[in-house]
Formats: sequence, structure tokens, C-alpha cells
Amino acid sequence: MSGKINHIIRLAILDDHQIVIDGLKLLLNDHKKFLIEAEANNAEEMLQKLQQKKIDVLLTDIAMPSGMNGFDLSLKVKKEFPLVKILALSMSEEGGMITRMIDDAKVDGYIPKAAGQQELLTAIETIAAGGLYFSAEVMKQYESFQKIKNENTEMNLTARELQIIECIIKHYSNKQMADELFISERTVETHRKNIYRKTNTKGEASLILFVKEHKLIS
Amino acid sequence: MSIFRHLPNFLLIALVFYSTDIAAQSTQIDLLKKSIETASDNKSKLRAMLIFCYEWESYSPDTLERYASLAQQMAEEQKDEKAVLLCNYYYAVFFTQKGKLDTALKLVDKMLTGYPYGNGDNENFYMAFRLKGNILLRKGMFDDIIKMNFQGLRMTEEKKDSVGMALSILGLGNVNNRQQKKREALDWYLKAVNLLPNDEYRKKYSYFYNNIAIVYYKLAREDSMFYFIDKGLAYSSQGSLTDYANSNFLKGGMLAEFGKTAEAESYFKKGLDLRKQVGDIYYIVSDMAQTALFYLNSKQYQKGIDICNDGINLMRQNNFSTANNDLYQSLARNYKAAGRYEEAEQTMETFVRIKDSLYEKNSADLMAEMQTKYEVQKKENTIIQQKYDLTKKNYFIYGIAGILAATLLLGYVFFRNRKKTQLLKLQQIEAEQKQKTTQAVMQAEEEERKRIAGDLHDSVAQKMVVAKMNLESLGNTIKEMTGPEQKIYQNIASLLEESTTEVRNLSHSMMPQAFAHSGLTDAVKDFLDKISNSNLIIHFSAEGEFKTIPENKALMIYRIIQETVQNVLKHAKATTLDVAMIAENNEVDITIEDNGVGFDLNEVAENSMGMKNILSRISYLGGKLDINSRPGSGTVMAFYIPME
Repeated sequence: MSGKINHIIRLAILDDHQIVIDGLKLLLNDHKKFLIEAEANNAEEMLQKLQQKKIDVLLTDIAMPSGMNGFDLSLKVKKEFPLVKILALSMSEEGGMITRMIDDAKVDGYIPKAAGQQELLTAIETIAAGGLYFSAEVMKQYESFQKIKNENTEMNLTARELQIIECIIKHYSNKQMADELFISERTVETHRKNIYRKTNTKGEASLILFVKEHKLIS
Repeated sequence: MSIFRHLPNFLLIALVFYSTDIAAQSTQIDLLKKSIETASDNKSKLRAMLIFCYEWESYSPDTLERYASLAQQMAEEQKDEKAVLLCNYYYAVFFTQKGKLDTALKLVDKMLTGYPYGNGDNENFYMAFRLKGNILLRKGMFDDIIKMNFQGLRMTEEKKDSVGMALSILGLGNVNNRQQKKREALDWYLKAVNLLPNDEYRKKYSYFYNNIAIVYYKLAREDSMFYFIDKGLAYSSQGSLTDYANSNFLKGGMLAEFGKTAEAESYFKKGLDLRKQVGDIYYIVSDMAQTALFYLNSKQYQKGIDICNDGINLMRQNNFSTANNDLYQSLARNYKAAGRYEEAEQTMETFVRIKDSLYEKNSADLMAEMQTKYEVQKKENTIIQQKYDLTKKNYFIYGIAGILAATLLLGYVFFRNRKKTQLLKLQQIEAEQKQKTTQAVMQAEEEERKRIAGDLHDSVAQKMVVAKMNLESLGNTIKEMTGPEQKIYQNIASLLEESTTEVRNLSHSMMPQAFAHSGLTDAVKDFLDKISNSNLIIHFSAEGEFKTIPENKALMIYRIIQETVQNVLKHAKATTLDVAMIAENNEVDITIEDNGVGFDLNEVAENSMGMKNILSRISYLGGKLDINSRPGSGTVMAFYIPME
């Protein structure tokens, strides 16, 4: 979904490294459809410039050494300048931050800085045209992070946890379990907590009911 | 005047001066004296002396005192305590004879404590027991006698000791007799006599019969009186001479009372004869006075005068100091009755003169007694004082020694404790220092990592990214590139891209960027994201508030998890990994469980580098590690990190 050539896309670039801004400018200036209207090294300055200039796409770094970071800025921009599209340009692709940028800040695109000219242009054009662009790497991180996050509440009982459940059904005390499984009482207690969380139960009675319902132990 | 005024005297004599199985005769006394002289060693000499003392009734009290004193010296030298006690007893006899009853009583009490009843040979006890009874009787301490004898009766009854019982009962009879309770006295006396087990004792205690005869006399029971005095006479004739003499005088007196003068005279003569054989001047003279009174009453004045003069001469010959007033009185009364008034008057004058001197003598005796008493007391006091001083001295020495020992011990304990505490303190300081150093090193490492990671990420990686951008821009301006030129361009571009990725990954592994903006749990999650693959299914959960954990601590926890998971990757061959983090109650609990091969706790332990890092970080955080693993059944590692 590449845009038309005659349609000028007004850009703003935020990065704490001026050298990155210069690099991007060099790349983008080669293409007539991009007009770099604003640049800044910190989020506060960028917010000011956004008020003065009409911007189509904001290219923003995420990690900032001080003040607001890219995430905070994105939240604010989406609220105050809902017409401005945001493309996150990041040096590191961490599932946690990617997830927050996508789910919470609702950025329009996310690509690594090292993505390359072609992907950069595609991303900007796609976003400017009202689409979303997330690079493959970013999506991969996002998905696996979601997976782990979702599993958080799913029932994935470990071997030890199943042993503990067996002991709970036998109404063993923590001490007895500890002796039987060669672990400390404290670890038994931790296992219990994890079991209650994983099975979404509140105590022995509800756990036993849960175990029967799900036929966990024969 | 009745001769029976003197009967109590006989009774007393009979009570005190009993005899032994050995007939006391002067020849035998000489033999005993000889055996003392010829004794081969001091021990047998002491024994001979004590045997000699035992026969005291056959010689004068002064002789007894001399031998008793010698025997005591020897006994003390030989440290023979029992013998010393016996000597005390003989002293008591001596003092009783001399009328120094308090001293005698003290000494006899010593003897009684030294020879308690039922402790082997009771003869010594009997001796002391009877002597004490006699002393008390003389002092008129009837209550004490009754008490003593009843006590004696109880003790002896328990042992079924009929002799002891007889003696106690006799003592009770004596008290009653003295108090003129004749019937009661008679009852006791008869009981006592019946308890004597055999003739040997009847001979030894023949005076029991005499006592009964006296009571019958008082009760005017003539038949019984003569029956018992004859029995007493018969037994005493086989016993001691003193007892035999006493019985004769008693029989004589009784016969005289019933007008049988001629018969009576023969008994008096026999008695006097026996007394002379014993050889105690005091009693000879005393008996002579009794006999003189008998002559007076039977109007044989010349015989009375003669016997009195004999007695006075005997006294003079023996330098007998204590004059017998009875003798002078008898003489004077015989003179008077015979009408020889002048001689009677002269006798009375002599008597008064002797009496005066006697009075003085008595005073002197009193003085002497007081002196003796005083000296005995003083000696005892000195001994007690010395013993006390010695004890005190000993206690003092023991006390000082004790305090010294205690002080030394205390000092030693204190010193050791101090040394121990110091050592502990030193060790503690060393450990603290070590931990501080470790902490400092770890901190420095983290700082360095952070700095390098930051540089890599912020400077190198950014510049490389920009370099690639520049290259791409250059590529845009060069319109037409040849095939080889195109290739070189592509090479540079991909090299830059790969390097950027590597630098970024390197930076990330050194210091997760997530830390800066996402916190501990996201950093862990990211880390787990990156290692998860189709062969290893990872489950992760985090409960509670982790955001408040200080960065340095969070970083440590991250490193612990990182290290542990890397160990799992390296060694466990696991297909599932479960990482759970719980933050509650100011504590972070982390369990990392895999289903891998597990390991033997004893083998792996702290040797591996990874394990060392984990342990040092846990110790840095003041946390605990609980590992549960067995070969083939996976591993659970549980960490507990306090957050305060």
C-alpha cells in the first residue's frame, strides 16, 4: 500500500542521538515525498514542535536518557494530536516494551532502527496511508511475549506441583510434604501459592474440587 | 541412836562400789602392780594399768587417781581414744569418792557418749550408767535419775538385755527408796533381782538383795528382811570382798536391832575383818565407828572405846587427813556412857579441833575442787578454742584457696571467652569484609557492565545504524552500479546490519534495556522470550509488586534467574521450564523448576562457576536457596530474598 508520489508526507523525528536524526534525514531527503518538518533530541521539545507544525508521521526513538521516553510521548501524542501517526524506531526489541507500545500507546508502526532503507520507507508510507506496520522481528517478540503473558494464568502445573497436589489431597501438613519431597517447608508454601494461582483456587477445599473436576490425578 | 541411821550409807557404798568377777584381794593387787611393771611394751602396760584401775575398790581413791592419771597419759600418747575415755571414767569414780560430783558427772557423761549402749560390749556402758545414777542420787537429782533409768529401760528392753533392764529398774527403785516410797521401791527391787539372768550376775550384783532387805527392814517385815539379807550375804561371799563386808555389816546391824547382840558382834567383826583385807583405811575407819556405836548400844563401852582408839591410831599411822567425825563422836559417847567424863571431854575437844581443821580442809578441798573444775574447764575450753582456731584457720585457708581457685577459673574462663569472642569478632569482621569486597566487586562489575552495555547500545550501535543509513543514502545517489559494485555494496550493508544486531545483543545480555523502562519481571520475561524455542516450553508467572524493588537488588535477582536458567539450558536437557516469582511480605520468592536430568546435590554443589555466582549473589542479598533435585527427576531451585 504505497502512497502516491505527489502526496507530500510531513515528518517529525525524535532521537536523543543527533547523529541518528542526521542519518535518517540523509536517507529520507533522497525521496521527494518526505518533508522533514521538525526534529528534536528530547520528548518535551518535540511536543512543542508538534503544536507549531502540522505533522503526518512522527518517527520516535523509545529509550531516552532523561525526561519522557518514547512510550510516554506516544501516549501523550495519541491523546493530544490524534491525527499524528507514530512510527516507533527502536534499537532494541523487547517484548515488554513492544507490547506496551502496541497495546497501550497504540503506535501505528514499530521497526528496528537497523531495519534498512526499504523497510523504513515502506513503514512510513503505510502508516501515512492509514495502515499499520510492524516488522517481522517486532511481531515475533510481541507474539512470544503475549504467549508467556497469557500462560501466566493458564494451568501449567509442574511435576513438583502435581506431587504437592497429591499430598494436599492426602491432607499432609507442610512439614510432612517437605519431608516427603526433600524440600523445605518454605518451598512447599511457595509451591502451594503457585498451585492456587495456576488453578485459580483459594485453598485446599477448592483445590480438591478443582482437581476432581479436571481429573488431574487418577 | 540406831545404827540404821547409817544404813543409807551402806546402801550408797553398795551402789557405787560394786565388785568384779575377779576377787579383789590385796595379794591380787600386788600381782596387778607387778604386771604393770613387767609389761613388755607400752600397749600392754596401758592394758595392765586399766585392769588395775578396774580394781579401784580394793585400794584408796588417791592410788586410783595416780594410776588413772598415768594411764590417761599413756592412752593419749598412744592415741587410744577408748582408753582415754575409760581413764575419764576412773577419774569420775575418784571425783565421786571425793564428793566432787559435778566434775564426776561431766566425766561420766563423756564416757557414756564414748561407749553408747548397744555398741558391742555393754559392760563399760553399765559401769558408766550406774555411776551416773549414783552421782545423780547423791546430788538429789531424782527427776534426772528417773528420766535416765526409764530411757535405759527402753533401750535395754528393745535389745532384750535383762542385765541392762535390771540395772535401770534398780535405779528406779533407788529413787523411790530415797523418797521413802517403800512399797514402790520394793516392787522395783524385786523386779530387778528377778531379771538377773544367772548366779554370776547375782554374785556381781549381790547388793540388789541387800537393798531389798533394807526396804523390808523399813517396812518392819522381819522374815523377809532376814531372808534377803541372807541371800545377799550368800551371793556376796562368792563375790567381791567389799560387797561381802557390806552384807556382813548389814546383817550385824539387823541382828543388833532385834537384840541378838552376840550374833551381831560376830558379823561386825567379820565385816571389819573383810574391810581390813580390802585395805581402804577410809572405810575401815568408818566401819570401826559403826561397830563402836553398836558396842555403845549394847553397853559394851570398853570394847567401843578400844575400837575407836584403834581406828584413830590407824588414821594417824596412815596420815589419814580426813578425820572421821563418827569415830570421835563414838569414842566420846562411849567414854560418857562408861562414866569417864574427863576423857569424853578431851575427845570432844580433839574432835572440835580436828573438825575445825577439817572445815578448813573442806574449804581447801572446795578450793581444790573449784580449782580442778576450773582447770578442767579451762583445759576443755582451751581445747575447744584450739579446735575452733584450727577450724577457723583451716576455713580461712580453704576460703582463700577457694577464692583463688575461683578467681583463676573465672579469669581463665573470662580470658578464653574474650579470646573466643575476639576470634569470632575477627572472623565476623573478616566475613563482613569479604562480603563487602564481594559486594563491591559485584557492584563494580555491574557498573562496568552497565557502562559498557550503555556505550555499546547508545554509541556503537547507533553509529553503526547511522553508518548503514549513510551507506544506503550513498547507494541512492549512485544511479548505476555494476554487478561487482552492487555486490560490494550489499556486503557492506549486511555486515553493518549483522554487526549492529550482534552489538545490540551483546549490550542486551550485559544489561537488559528492559530494566530501564520495564522493570524486573519484564526483563525476566524478555530474557525467557529470547531463549524459548520449540524444544523448551517455558512457563513464567509473576505475582505481586516488583516495581518497588531497588534497581541494584532487582538486577541481582535478574542475574540469579539468568544464571540458573542458563545452567538449565546447559546441563538439564529439559523440555519444560517453570519460572515463578512471588513478591509478598517484603520478600521475593522465586522457584525455577525443570523436568530435566536433575543432579546429585552432593556432587554439583558449589563447584561450578554458575553455582558460585548464584550463591554469592544470594548471600549478597541475604537470601536463602533451597535446591531439590535427584538424578532423573528434574530440579527445583527455590530462592527467598528479603526486601527491606
